[in-house]
Amino acid sequence: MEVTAPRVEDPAPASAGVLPRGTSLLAALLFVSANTMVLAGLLTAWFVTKGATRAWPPEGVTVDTYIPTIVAVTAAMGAVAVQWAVWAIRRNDQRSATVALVLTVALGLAMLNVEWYELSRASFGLADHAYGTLYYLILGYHLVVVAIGLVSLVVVGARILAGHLGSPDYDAVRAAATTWQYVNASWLFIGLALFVFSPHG
Amino acid sequence: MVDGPASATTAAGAGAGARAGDAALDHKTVGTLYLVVALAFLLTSGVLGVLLRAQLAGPDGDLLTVNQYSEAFSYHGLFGVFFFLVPAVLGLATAVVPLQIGATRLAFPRLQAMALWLTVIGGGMVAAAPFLDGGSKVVSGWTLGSPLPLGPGFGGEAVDLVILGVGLSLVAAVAASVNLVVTVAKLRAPGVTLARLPLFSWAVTVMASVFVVALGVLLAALVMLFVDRNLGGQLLAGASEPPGSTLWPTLFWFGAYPMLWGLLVAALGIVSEIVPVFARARIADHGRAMAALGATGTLAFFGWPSEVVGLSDGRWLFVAGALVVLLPVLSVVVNWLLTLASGRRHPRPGPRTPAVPAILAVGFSLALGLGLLAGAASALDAAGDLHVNAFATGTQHGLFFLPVTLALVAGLHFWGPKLWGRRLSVGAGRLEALLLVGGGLLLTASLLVLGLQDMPLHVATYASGEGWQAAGVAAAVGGAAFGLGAVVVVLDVVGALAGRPAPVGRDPWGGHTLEWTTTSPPPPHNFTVLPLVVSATPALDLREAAGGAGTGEDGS
Repeated sequence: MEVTAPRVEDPAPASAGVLPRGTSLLAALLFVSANTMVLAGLLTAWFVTKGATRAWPPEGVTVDTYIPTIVAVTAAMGAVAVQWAVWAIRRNDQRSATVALVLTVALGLAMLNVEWYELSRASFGLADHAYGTLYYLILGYHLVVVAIGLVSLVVVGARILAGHLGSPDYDAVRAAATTWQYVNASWLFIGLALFVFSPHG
Repeated sequence: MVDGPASATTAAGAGAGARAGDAALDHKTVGTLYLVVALAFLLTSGVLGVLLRAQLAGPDGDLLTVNQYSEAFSYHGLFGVFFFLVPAVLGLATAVVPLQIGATRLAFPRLQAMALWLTVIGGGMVAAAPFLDGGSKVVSGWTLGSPLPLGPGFGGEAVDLVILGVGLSLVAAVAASVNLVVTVAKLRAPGVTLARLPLFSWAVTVMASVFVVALGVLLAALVMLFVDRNLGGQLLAGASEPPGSTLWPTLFWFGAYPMLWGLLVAALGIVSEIVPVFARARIADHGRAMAALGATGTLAFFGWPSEVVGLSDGRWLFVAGALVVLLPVLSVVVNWLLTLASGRRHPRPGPRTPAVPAILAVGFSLALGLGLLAGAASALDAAGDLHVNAFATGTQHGLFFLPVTLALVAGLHFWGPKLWGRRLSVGAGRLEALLLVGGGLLLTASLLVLGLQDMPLHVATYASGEGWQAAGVAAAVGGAAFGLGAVVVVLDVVGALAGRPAPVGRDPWGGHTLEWTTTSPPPPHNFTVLPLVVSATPALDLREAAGGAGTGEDGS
C-alpha cells in the first residue's frame, strides 16, 4: 500500500451542507429493493401453494384479465407521465413538472379505484381458501405500494410548487419517480403471476 | 466522489450539513441511544435466560410451570435477537461508521432517529404482551413457529402484539440499513475510496445490504401469520395439503438465516479493526478481508434450507449451502493470524498488559471457533435432528449470540472514547471479559453437549434418569456468569454516560482509521481538520509521517 506523507488541510465549514447528487435516488432504490423482497415473499407463497393444490384457482373461481389489463395500461401511462416530470425538472421547468406529477397522481388514483373495484367484486372471500387469502393479500399489497408512491409524488409536487426543487437539485424527484416506477413494475409481476400464469379452468 | 487533494475542501463540505444545534439528530447521540435501548433488552433477555437454565439445572425443576417455561423461552429469544442483537449492532454502526469514513453526518439523520424510536415502540409492544389477554400463549420461540401460533389454543391479542412489535423492529432495521448503505456510498471523505474503506464500515455495509434483501421476506411471512390469525387466512396452517407446513419455516429462515450471518459479519468487522491496532500492524490483506466479509454476507443466502426441518429433496445441496458460508469466515480468521504474525516487527512500547478490547477479541475468537465447529456439525446434519434438539440452541448461541455480543462489548471499549469521551473502566472490562467469555463458553459448550445427549429443544422438566444433570448445572452456572457479566457491562456504560468526564486523547489505542484523528468525543460536525487519506489506515500514516509509529498517546 502506497504511504506518502499526508498533509492536513482545512475541510469546509460543517454548516455548508447539500447531500451529494444521487443520495436520495440511491436510498429510493434500496427501499424499492427491500419492498421487492416483500413481494417476492408473497409470490413465493403463491407459487408454492399453487404447486401443492389440485385446483388453482379453486373450482367456482373465475379470473378474467380485463381489469388487470386496464391497470397495466394505466401503469404504463403513469410510467411515462412520471418520467416526463423528471425530464421537465431536469430542464428546470417546474411548471411542466407539476403538470406531469398531477397527471401521474391522477393515474395513480385511477389505479387505486380500479383495483379496489376488482377486489370488491370478487366472488370469494379472503377466508374461503388459500387462493383467496393470497389474492387479497397480494392485491392489498399493491394498494399499499400505490398509496406510498402517491404520498411521495404529492410531497415532491408540493416541494416543486414551493420552489425547493429545480435543476440541478432535483434528486428528490428522481427518488419519487423511482418509487413510482416500482408501483408499475410490481403490477407487471403481480399481473403475470395472478392472472396470466394462473388462469382458471 | 472525486479523489485527490484538490477536492478535499469541497467534498468534505458535501458531507457536512449536520444541524449543529440539533443534538437529537447527531448520529453519535442516536447511536448511543440505540445501544442503551439494546442493552436494556439484553438484560431483560438475560434474566429470562438465567431463569430457563435454573429450571433445567436439575431433574424435575419446579421453578417454572411448563407454560411459564415456554413463555420465558420465547420472550428470551425474541428480546435477544430482535431487540438486542440487531439494534445493538445497528446502534454501534450508527455511531461509528460516519466517523470512520470521514463524514460529518448520516445521509438521513431523521430516518435513523425514526428507526430508533420504531425499535423502542416495537420492543415496548413485545414487552407489554405478557400482561395482556393471551399473554401466556406466546410460547412459539423466537422463530414464532414452533408451534405456529394458529388455532384455538393461541387466541388473545398478546401474540398479535408480538407479531406487530417484531414487524416494526424489522421495518426499523431496514430503514436504518438503507441509511447506513447510502451514507457509506455517498458521504465518504475525499480519498476514502471503496477499496480503502475501514473493515468495520465495510462489514456494516455488507450486513445492511443483507438486511435490505432478507428482512422483506421475513416481513411478508409475519404479515401472512397476522392475516391467518386475524382475518381467517388459510395459508400457513396447510390444513389440507402438506407443503403448507413448510411455507412458514421456508419464508422465516430465508430471512432470518442471512440476518444472523449479517450480524456475525458486523462482529467480524469490529474484531478486524481491533486485531491490527493491538498487533501494531496493518491488516495482512485488506482486500482479501473485504472480499471474505462480502462473501460471507452473500453465501449466507444459500444456507436457509438447512434450518427447515422436513425438507427432504436435494439434501446434499442444503449441506453444501450451510457449509460453504463457513469458509470465508475462516479466511478472515487466517487474515488476523497473519496480521498478528507480522505485528512482531513493530515492537510496542508502553504497558505490557493486554487492553480490554484485545482480551475480548481473543474471547471472540474462542467463541467463534466453538461456533464454527457447531455450525459445521449442524450443516452436515442439514434439516436433521441437530436442528430440533438443544444442539440448535447451542449453535445459535455459539455461532451468533456469543461472538456478536463479545464483539459488541469489545467495540464499546474500543470506541468508548469516541462515544462518551472517556474510556470504559479497565478493571470492569477485565471482569466483563472473564464473566462473558468464561460464562458464555461454558453455557454454549453445555448446550451442545445436551444436544448430543438428545435433549429436545422444548423441554420444561426432565426425569432424573436422562443424564442431563451435569451439563444442565454447567449451563446454569455459565448462563449466570454471562448474565452477571452483562450487568457489569451495563453498569460500566451507565457510569460512562453519567460519570464525570475523564479526558482521554484523540487516540488512546494507536488507532488506524479516521475516527482516531478527531477529538474524543468528536465535535457535532465530527472533524475540524480532516487528514488527506491515501490508504486504508490514514491515522497510522499520519503518525508514521510524524515519526512516531510507536505510541498511541498524543495527549491532545
